[in-house]
Amino acid sequence: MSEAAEPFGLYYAPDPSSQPVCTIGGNVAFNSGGAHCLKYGMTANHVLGMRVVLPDGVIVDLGGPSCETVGPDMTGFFVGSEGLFGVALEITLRLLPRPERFRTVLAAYDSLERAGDAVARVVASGLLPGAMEIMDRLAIDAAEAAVNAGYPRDAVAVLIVELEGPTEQVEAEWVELSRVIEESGAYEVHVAKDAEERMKIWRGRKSAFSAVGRLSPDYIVQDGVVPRGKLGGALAAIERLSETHGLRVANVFHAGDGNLHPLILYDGRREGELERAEELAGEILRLCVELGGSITGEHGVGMEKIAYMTDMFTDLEIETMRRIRESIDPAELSNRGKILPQGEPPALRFHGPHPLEREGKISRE
Amino acid sequence: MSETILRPESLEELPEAVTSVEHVRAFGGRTKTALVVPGASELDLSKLSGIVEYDPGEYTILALAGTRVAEIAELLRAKGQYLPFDPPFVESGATIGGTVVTGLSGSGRFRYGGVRDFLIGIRFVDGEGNVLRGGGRVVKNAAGFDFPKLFVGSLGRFGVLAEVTFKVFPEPAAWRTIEIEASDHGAAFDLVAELASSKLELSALDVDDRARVFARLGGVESALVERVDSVRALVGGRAGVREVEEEARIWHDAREFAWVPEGSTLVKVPTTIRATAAVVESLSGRDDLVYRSSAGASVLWVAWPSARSIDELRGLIDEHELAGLALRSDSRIDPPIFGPVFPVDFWRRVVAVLDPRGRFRGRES
Repeated sequence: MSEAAEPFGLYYAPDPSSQPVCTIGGNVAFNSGGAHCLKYGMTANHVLGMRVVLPDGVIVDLGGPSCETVGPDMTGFFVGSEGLFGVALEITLRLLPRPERFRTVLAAYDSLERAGDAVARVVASGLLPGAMEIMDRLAIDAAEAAVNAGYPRDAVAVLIVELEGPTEQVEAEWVELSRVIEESGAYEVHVAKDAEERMKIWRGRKSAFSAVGRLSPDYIVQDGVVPRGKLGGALAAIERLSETHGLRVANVFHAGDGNLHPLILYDGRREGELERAEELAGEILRLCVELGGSITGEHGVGMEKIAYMTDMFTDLEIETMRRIRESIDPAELSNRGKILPQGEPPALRFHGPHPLEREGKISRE
Repeated sequence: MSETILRPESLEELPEAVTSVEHVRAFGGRTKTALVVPGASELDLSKLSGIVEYDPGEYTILALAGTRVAEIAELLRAKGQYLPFDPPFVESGATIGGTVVTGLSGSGRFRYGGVRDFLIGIRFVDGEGNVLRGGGRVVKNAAGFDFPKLFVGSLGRFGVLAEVTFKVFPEPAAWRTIEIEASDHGAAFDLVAELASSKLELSALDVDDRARVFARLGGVESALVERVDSVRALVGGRAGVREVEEEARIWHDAREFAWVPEGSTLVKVPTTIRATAAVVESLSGRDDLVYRSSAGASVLWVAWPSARSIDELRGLIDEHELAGLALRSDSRIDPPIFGPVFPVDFWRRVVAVLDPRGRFRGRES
């Protein structure tokens, strides 16, 4: 799809890192995100219309070719329902003109706190970058080992900020951003000189998940959200949890969105380690909810996070969701066992990298 | 048929107010006069007003549904932020809840998206008096069913909104507007297509019924001179171009629908560029008609004169296979919905759960 849009100077804004291998139907099911969601939102914000088949075989058209609608936004309601409402057959997407200019900066810090503070400063300055990403030392090590992205090896944290837009606008914003980054205490700043250097910076970031496989035989990718102002506290708490559980945690996150992706490293061959890793993952999710955030920013609930739905929603809210699901799909034919506690999930356990990730063929955020 | 007016004073009183009558329709500022439901008791939400939480660093604001948009806009402006979807009828007294359930966005929605793209969380009371939440308070969240989207444009059919949380953005520091006098509407919409797919990043792009195109740019002051030149360069010698001096006035008048003649019925018709050009073509010859195409021809606002039968417009909308919604009228428009707006097979299954007794029934079914 992105390839088809490209010759017209258009692109699909959410930029999921798995786009070399993922399908738009899958993105619709999970309301997938990506590194460029701060400005233009996630999948749901780009789906204008759909032809879907409801679980009893009825085909329904939702939305249409216009960005505007009248009547309830059933299209938006369907997106992210993880298959519980049926199957999307055709999807009409909004494409945007590719920005004329990018300015991508990589700043190195001697503490995670400083990097987080820099994000707050960028926000306070009134700038609206296309992306703001942070990686911690473990994630940097992994990315360097995998793709040699040229990140400073001694950095405790790196921050990637990208401006995009018309050249004159970006250049004017760049003056402001440079000042903010300078004042934020970055000890090294690298600015991408051309498209190739920009891609190199992004390659390091986007490879981080798969790259962690080089540091550990197994790992769990977590996905939680906290209010941006509570990132620092969340990271400190994750560090403490990591110590008490005796497991390493690498942090990669969409700092602009407060969307954390802790990668919990463990060795499945060691007795009880998977269970400990899962326990740690669960505590991180509960922490996100306690801080006023969410148990998932973009990866969905699936089966893995069913147990944490009750931390975020009341019994009545979950019961209402279940009744809506039953009203749409009384026989529970469509993707049974996802999102909602109860139901009969198939006996399936899946952790760590996707088989294709292990082979280094794909990467994702 | 009892017609009482219910005036809950707090969130706590809302469920009882909702369930105390068998047919009810909520309202806030009464700015959408065409959407009154005959026979329903009225639920006045104007006392459920106030901003509950606003932290500029989070880009989020939480307000009670009966809060006037003007109050929210003022608070945001003081912190250099705004609601990028440009809610209409601000000065007329529209409330934020009414804006959501009528699904209305203004000309500024062209840049970053509409009300559906900025609403991130809701609290509502369903037809059984249950208080439920959907979405959350963080800008990125994929947990549970997307009730906020469901409520956008729902006309109150699924429940009564009590609280809404929005994503907000920093407001551009400066604005410029360019007026382009196209030779006719065909040329005007050709220009819209070119401008919309260009890399100019316009904030708004409207066309009035005299084939004048209005293109707005927002951003850093120092970059705007060159960005205005880029727009001029794209138009070339094809049409008269001038920069508008009192540019804020144009967008104020668009937002407040100041161009709509007294006594006419205002109808929203979602469109595409191609569809708009076709509709405008078939509207020609009706000299008493005033209209405005907005947001890169995503929507056509029509002021239908009271002297003409509304069925004539209904016929036109059907003929072009579009849909519409009457918003303001001195006379009763029955029904105020034009064309296929509710995807019956899908939405009925959701209504069956959230409003099994039909307490919120309108004229949509």
